Amino acid sequence: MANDVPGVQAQAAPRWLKFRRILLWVMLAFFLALMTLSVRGAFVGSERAGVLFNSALLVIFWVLFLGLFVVGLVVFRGLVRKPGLLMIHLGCVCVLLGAMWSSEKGHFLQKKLLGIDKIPQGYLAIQEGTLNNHVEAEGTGEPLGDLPFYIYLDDFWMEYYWRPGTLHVRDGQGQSWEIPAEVGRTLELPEPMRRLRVLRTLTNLKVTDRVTDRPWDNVNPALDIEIEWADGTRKRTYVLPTDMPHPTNIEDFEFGYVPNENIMPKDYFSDLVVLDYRNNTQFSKVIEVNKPLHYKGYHFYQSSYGSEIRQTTHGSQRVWYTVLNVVSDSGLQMVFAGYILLCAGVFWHCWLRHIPAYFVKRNAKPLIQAD
Amino acid sequence: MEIKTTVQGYLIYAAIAAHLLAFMVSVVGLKKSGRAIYAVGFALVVIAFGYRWYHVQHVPLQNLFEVFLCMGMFFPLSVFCRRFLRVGAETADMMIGVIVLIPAGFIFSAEPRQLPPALQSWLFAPHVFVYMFSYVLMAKATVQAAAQLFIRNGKPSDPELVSYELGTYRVICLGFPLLTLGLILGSYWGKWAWGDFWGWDPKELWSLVSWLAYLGYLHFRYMHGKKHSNINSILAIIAMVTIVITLLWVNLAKIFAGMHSYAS
Repeated sequence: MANDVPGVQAQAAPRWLKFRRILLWVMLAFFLALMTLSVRGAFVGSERAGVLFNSALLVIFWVLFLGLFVVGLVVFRGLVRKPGLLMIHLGCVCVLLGAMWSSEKGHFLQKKLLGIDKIPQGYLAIQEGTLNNHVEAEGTGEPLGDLPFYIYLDDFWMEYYWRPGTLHVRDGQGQSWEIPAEVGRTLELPEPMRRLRVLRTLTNLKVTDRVTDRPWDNVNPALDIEIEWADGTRKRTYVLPTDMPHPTNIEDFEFGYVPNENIMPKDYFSDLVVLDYRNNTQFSKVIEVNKPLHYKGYHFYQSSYGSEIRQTTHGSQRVWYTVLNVVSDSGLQMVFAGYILLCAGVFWHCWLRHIPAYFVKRNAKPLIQAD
Repeated sequence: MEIKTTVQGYLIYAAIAAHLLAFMVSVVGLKKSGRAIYAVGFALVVIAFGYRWYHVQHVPLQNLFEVFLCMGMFFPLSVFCRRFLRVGAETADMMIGVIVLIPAGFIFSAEPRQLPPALQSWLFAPHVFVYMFSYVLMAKATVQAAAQLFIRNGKPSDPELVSYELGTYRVICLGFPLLTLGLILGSYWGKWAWGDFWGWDPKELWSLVSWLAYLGYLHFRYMHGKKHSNINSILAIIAMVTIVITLLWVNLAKIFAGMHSYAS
């Protein structure tokens, strides 16, 4: 090999060298095969790619690929002697092992060999005010099993990116005006008034004597406006959305706020309570995208939501539900450990190990001083 | 093709002009002046990037306009390659700057968008930054590889600089850890956002293809060293093609629908 120590190379048997060279060519062939399969997978879509890469043939491929790493670590002593290369290759082994263990076939092996019965992945839909532990498959709704504990949905809500709406004004003569509900906007009004100015836009107006069942709700818009009369008198008031049952009326004028309907969701929140009766454990956690719940070998991710109209004795009622993506954490620690090793190894081998040599070379004095 | 008649647009056009002027000045032999103008071009890109950041109120790395603007900040890496790796071709780096800024200035939409829930993570900025810097480094390595193939004796005229083949290897060694870190950060983030550290998404698969391509180059070079310099260079160029596909084709082509489609 080009980078082998020449002395070692001279001593190694030619057959051994040939075997190592063949091993490297086989590794390159595996890289090429994996690249080809990945390109194929990219064209067929993630679902079919998942089926392809978890098929029986590819299981053999992964096992052989893993074996190649192990054989390489034994055959190439340089991989073990050089810390960077050792970390890189061990990291790849860990990632492959962890990924295999976390797959559906890995969970099947866990059940057969270790008696660990976990659901690899599924979905859990929970209505507000109810609890559930039945995990189902995506799309088909096929039951996949029950969790050994329950999840209760206390509340579901969303936060939005707010965009300014419109302020509507109407007087007793039927005249009407509208302006964008932006801070600083003014509107000239006929007598007895003179002018109106928007002072603030509020996304969550809270009135302390008002009782709600959604204390964290971030969608309670209002405008803070100032009205100036012709005689110079000023009055400040709040204007609520026009669909609220209490419009703002001052003298003959009616003020209403129409929030912008094109608001984009910023995040989704589910206030969950874990009820583990077997272990006498109960705790609550608010989850959102990027911040899942982790309990008893499962992660629960905010995946989706919805609402449905439910008929009650008091009439129809809109009920919200959250959909959680339930994923087993088997193999995850091994994968992350592999990532750390792989990363550390690559940075050490390509970057860090050269730094001391650079400074030594830079500070080295020449043997012969120039006159 | 659109002309951006906004402050953002003018800053980008000024940066393109500076990079182009730096390139032309360097080509005629005024290297020092070229570097000075290149530095001015870099400052303009940084101002444009900072302006965008202020305008959208989040790290501007969400869509192709923003990532291409980010890639325009290549100057420090170019200086690093020359100073510490003794890899030249800064003139080509100036042209790389022009090439990545032109789509930002004339092609991709600069319409600001709010971050969807999945992108509201501390991993968003490191994942994208690291990838973009690795991409421009690999582009520099590709220039070195092309120079090795097409310039006789494969050596730059400046004796202080290493050969183009060694320059390709050194720059790939500089960029490969960033490529690896970008891939790993993306996987780690995917686990926290979507529940899966590998979802077989087209973007993920093409990222793996480009990572494997460079891994193949490094293994081949380990096996043969400089004996097959031309093959080394061809492998580096093929690997760069996979990066272009990963960055552009996957985001823009409708055949690759996936979770990363928000970047288009």
